[in-house]
Amino acid sequence: MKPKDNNSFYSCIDPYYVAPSAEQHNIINAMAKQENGKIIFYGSEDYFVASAQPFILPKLKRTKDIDGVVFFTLNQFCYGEAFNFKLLIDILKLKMSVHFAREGLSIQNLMELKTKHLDLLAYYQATFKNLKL
Amino acid sequence: MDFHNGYFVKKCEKIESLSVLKLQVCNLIREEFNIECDDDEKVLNQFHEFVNEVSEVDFNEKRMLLIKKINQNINFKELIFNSFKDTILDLLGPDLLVQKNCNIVIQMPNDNNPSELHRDAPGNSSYEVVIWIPLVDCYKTKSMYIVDYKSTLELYEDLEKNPDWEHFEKKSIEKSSSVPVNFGEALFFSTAVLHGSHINKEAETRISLNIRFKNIFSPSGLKNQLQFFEKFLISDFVKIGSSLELKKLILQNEKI
Repeated sequence: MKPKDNNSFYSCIDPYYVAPSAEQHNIINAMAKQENGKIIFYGSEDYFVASAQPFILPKLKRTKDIDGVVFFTLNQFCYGEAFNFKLLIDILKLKMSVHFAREGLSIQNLMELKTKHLDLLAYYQATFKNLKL
Repeated sequence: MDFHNGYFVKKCEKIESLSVLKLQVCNLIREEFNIECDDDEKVLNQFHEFVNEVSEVDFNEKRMLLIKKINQNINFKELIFNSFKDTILDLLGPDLLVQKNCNIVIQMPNDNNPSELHRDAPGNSSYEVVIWIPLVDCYKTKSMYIVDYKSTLELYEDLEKNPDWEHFEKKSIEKSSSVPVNFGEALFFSTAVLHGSHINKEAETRISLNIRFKNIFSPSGLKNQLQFFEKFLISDFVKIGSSLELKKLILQNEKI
């Protein structure tokens, strides 16, 4: 699929991460530019629900013309009891792409998730799961 | 496989792969530094003689370009893996990540900027293996020094009691060994051991590569696994597990 010239992205920073939000936004903006677009909408920075990010899906469903979501880091899917594949799959099912700025990782659709599933799982296992042992 | 010291030197299992790597690096060095000499050994070992007119600033720029070209143009991951396949698989298993970029280190005689004493963990995972591959024969100060794992632990215990870095450095170097490694061999070492290099007092330049491999599921270090590594080898066993798990996840999402 040929990428559009002006993709519109929703951005989600990581309230748990030590990098200040301005730095996170800069990196997210750079990723959006790399993906031929820019950030149009901004997600909540609520610290208390950041582990599950429940605000994202309703916002995406009710907002038209969003092509994808740029997260600051894949860590935002790793703060719960397991990797948050549910949210990732839900977003992809809305035909939106998902991007992780810090890791420079993009998942365009469910088909691509098949090739990248192991990267995500291994990242969670290696970076988070082992810490909980 | 006896790794209790935290390092060992292994002979290459497929010298053809390592020779291709050496030749390709050598050709890029010729190209980048405008060296007109057909003798590979001379280009590498006597590298300092070909660049003695180059300013430090220009040298550094060319060195950075060389690293970029090596990473862009040489299939170094495959070549290194094929050269030491059995050892890597024995140490880490069949599901592997490899460092995205290969490092090249050029240590010319009397260069007063050697690699200082350090250990890679915890920045790097203590489950990673570092493979140091000289493209020339390395001995005495032309080689690296390394401190075995037991001594490294003792030294860090002492450092905690007496936080005097100069004393720590002096004691570490006393406990270290210079490891001779010839072309055709590699030094495998754990990120948990102290290592570094002295000022190269020999009459030859040392040119070496280093790269890290890690099992995909082993704990990561402080560096972000997805930024630093990429997937290199995945067993059918894990491919099946991953594929089934994803199918299950997608189905679960449909039911909710």
